[in-house]
Amino acid sequence: MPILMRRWKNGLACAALILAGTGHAGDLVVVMAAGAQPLSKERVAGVFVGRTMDLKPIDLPDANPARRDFYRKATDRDLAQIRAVWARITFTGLGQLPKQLADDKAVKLAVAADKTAIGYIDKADLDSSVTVVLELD
Amino acid sequence: MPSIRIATLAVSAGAIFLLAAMPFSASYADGISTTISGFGTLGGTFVSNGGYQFVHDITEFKGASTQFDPGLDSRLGLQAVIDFGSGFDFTAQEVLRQRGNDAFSPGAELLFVQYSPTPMFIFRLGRFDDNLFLTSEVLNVGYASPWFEAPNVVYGAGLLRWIDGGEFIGRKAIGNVSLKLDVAFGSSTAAIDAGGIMSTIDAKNVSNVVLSLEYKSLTVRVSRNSSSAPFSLALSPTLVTSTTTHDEFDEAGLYYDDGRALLYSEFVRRRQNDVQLIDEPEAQFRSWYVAAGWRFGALTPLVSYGAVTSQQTLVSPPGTFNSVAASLRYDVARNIALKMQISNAAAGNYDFWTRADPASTSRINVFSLGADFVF
Repeated sequence: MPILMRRWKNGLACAALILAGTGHAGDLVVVMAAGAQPLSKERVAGVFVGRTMDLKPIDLPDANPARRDFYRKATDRDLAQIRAVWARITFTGLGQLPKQLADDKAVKLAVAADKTAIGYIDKADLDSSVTVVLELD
Repeated sequence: MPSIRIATLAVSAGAIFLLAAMPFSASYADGISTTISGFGTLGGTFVSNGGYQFVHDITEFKGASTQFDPGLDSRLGLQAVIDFGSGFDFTAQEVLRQRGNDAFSPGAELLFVQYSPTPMFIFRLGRFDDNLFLTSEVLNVGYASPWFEAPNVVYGAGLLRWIDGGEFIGRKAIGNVSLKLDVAFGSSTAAIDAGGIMSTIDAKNVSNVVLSLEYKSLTVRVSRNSSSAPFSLALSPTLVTSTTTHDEFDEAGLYYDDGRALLYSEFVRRRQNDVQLIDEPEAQFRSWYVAAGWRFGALTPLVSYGAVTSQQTLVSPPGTFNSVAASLRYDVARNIALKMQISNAAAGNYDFWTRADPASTSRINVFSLGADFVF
């Protein structure tokens, strides 16, 4: 019995590690400068896949798991698909890849300083410097 | 031909110089920034019948036969963008690929200055893509497409790869609908091998108007492209007919991608005036294709079916030829996609072979394999 219990606990620990590796720490929110109005998911997706250029998308680094979660939830696409979409925009001279900043703190600073910038951060890192325009469950 | 080569070499030399002079990505205190990025394909093609050579279009003089040929599909592109701030930027894109009958040689595919006073408007001067069909702008950038070879029944007709001139792009979002108008005018050139006759298309008054609409996962577009080029043909040692060929493409296309399902489809009608004394055009046809795929994680299988119906022309008898293809894309690593494709087309289809045989009932397989990447 103790052996079975140990295996069960080990199994739970492995499952927790796998989940931790595939997800991010918390819920994501899309943010703009203070006073911005709420946006639809389609509107946010349009900005981050380069369909509309009136807002400046601010991205996180490839290694940040929140990036993959964001694109999956906001655009229904994985990172390879997003790279292909931006390859078309970049190599036709219509735009450049979204600027990538190091972390949530840098994203908040950039978004707070520019009314046309839009980024995404962990909900736990929210403060009054930015406004939530879309919550991603 | 020599004048084309001299002009191409001059433009290429300028683009190479600019690319070589720039760091990969840098920002300067005065607000000027530069970005260098690139793309490429390492791959090749072979066919199942040694009597035929596969080409994408007649700007390729030497095709792939039964030996794996990396020449048609392998390429390397480098792009530099200098952003001067205030809406001005400069773009140079140099692509190393097989051109005409040459071995691999560089050429400037993009070389323009751009002014965008607001995100809604873009004005360009210089060399830019001929936005003829749905994916014409990124034919060199395989990573941006789900297939390895774009459907030849449509894309085989796109001989002018760029326009030297001016372009206006207007974009407007209305709710979740994005509208885009692309108007371009200028000139272009291409060296071709039409059934063994080498010549140069020296196109003037090239105009291209594209209206596209995007709504959620769906993009639809219509376009009209027209150009004029002088054409001469020796009917006998003492009789030469000279004509100005007016070439027109009407195109309608749609693209659907919801993250899982993929659908591409286009219809193209090409019309030309008749060559004097012969009363036949050089090329006149209708063609279309439908391609559908589904993403299974990193794997994207895609199947396509297309057909071309040609009228009697100088280089081909009337007829309808279909083609089918199956491809698989595997996003194996960040920025790298492995692809394989099998296409099957009739021996008489002029869009596929250096020397088609319209009298033959044979069908030939084209096998392609490669890796597309961006950096």
